[in-house]
Amino acid sequence: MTESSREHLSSLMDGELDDKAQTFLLQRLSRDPEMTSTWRRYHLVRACLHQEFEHASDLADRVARALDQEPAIEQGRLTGWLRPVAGSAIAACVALVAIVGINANIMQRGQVEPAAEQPGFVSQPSVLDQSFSRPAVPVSFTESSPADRQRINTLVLRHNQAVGGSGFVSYLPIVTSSSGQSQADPETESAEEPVVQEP
Amino acid sequence: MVRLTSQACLLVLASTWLLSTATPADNSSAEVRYWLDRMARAVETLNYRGTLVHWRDGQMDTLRIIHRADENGIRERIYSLDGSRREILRDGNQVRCLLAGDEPLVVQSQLAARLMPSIPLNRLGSPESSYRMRLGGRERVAGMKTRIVEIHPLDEFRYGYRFWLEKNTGMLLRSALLDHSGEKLQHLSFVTVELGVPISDAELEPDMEEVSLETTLQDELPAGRVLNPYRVSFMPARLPENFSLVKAGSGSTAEDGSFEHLIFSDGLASFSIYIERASGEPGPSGRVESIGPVHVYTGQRDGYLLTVVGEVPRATVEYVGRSIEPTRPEPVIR
Repeated sequence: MTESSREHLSSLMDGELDDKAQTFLLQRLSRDPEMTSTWRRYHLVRACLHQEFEHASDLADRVARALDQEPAIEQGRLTGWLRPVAGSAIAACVALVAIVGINANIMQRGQVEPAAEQPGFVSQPSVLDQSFSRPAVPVSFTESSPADRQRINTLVLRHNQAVGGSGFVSYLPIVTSSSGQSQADPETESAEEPVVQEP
Repeated sequence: MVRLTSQACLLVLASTWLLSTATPADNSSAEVRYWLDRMARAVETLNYRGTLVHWRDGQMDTLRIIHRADENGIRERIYSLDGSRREILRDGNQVRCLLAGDEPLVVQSQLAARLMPSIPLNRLGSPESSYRMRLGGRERVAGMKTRIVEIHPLDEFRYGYRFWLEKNTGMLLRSALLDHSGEKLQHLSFVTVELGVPISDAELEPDMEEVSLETTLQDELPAGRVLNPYRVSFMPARLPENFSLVKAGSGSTAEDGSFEHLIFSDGLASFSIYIERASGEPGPSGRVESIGPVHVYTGQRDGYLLTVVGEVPRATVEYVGRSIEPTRPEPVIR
């Protein structure tokens, strides 16, 4: 695989390719086994960078500290998102290798638990809700104090700004009147019942 | 020497592990990605002026949207045409929220803009995606031809979506928000819309009266900065599958002290965790508020207020909120 292929893969991961180049590269990716395996490695490294495996953060920290004391890593071939955090990425990856079994369990729990007894509809109580030690106290947004409303609106706005998303759509909940009374009713019914969104 | 050995081990193990779990994205998801990218671009970068109908919980609202994007940045005004007066004004990094009966709210978030211009939708087609996506049929909406994109969640931790996208620009003209079982939670649709029209400054001025800015400035983040994920004070011990930390940052409010801001995403849905010093009495152990499809979990731990916010189902914010743990004995924020 050439250096430029690696550059292209890296750009693809960062979403920096134009549509045409992207389609081309995806087609090539599906045929070229070497490229496919590089692609997978990049994903693993990125997963570590993003701490998808943050359950290992202690171990990762320790390894990071150990690596800090090692001579600097050769960086010439690492591009884009790989470059700045190579040290901690490797630390996290080493940690990942150590905890891959644990992590698989954690991943499965999130997936299997709700499915085990319930089809997993949001509108029905699920295993998930029962397993909480203390049920949440549901509060209607309009019953919250003005200070609480302000705080929550601030956080919602800040979140919207941070994620961008699909523009105006994310601001609609705040501007529509159903953010007031009408949706509060199902919320106040019972602490055991998860949110019921009437169609 | 130590490093060489661990790297070698790593590569072998990593490739074996990933070989068993990953396959490259296929063509149909590439096509959906193409449409979603166009949508994200069109919604932000086009000029438009339109009226839309919004339906949720049997309640109908009519809203007006005016959006302008030019060399000075994005300006947008969204206001309600029915019921009490509600208005949102967006000007670059600043968002003003004017709600009848409430104090005006100004959120000026430079941190946010620096943190995340936008979550790249094009990671969606990745093999570990939690959605099944496909291009649907063609329909006419607000007098224009659209293409439908259908996104179905594979578990109950995220919503499903159906988007009607204008054929030439990818502009979002209609959308439906669905739960995991396919029930419609929210519908919105432009009734009329003009795309690519010039928008004057006057159209972007608020109708509602405003109190002076000094009293409304809630949040100012001049010193917002990106945090090393290893340095954050709290982290959730568990996440629904495929959600991962995409950014960590910190900032300070005009009022008191600093906060940490973590953003998690599965490529389409996202939520934030805010960590700040709790003021006053410890509240209830955890509560969930909903503002339409947006859910907010608030909890307390070791004198800190922990808030999970996002347009995700209630199950998601509770699942995550209840698992937030300190990462070190002494939290680092003041």
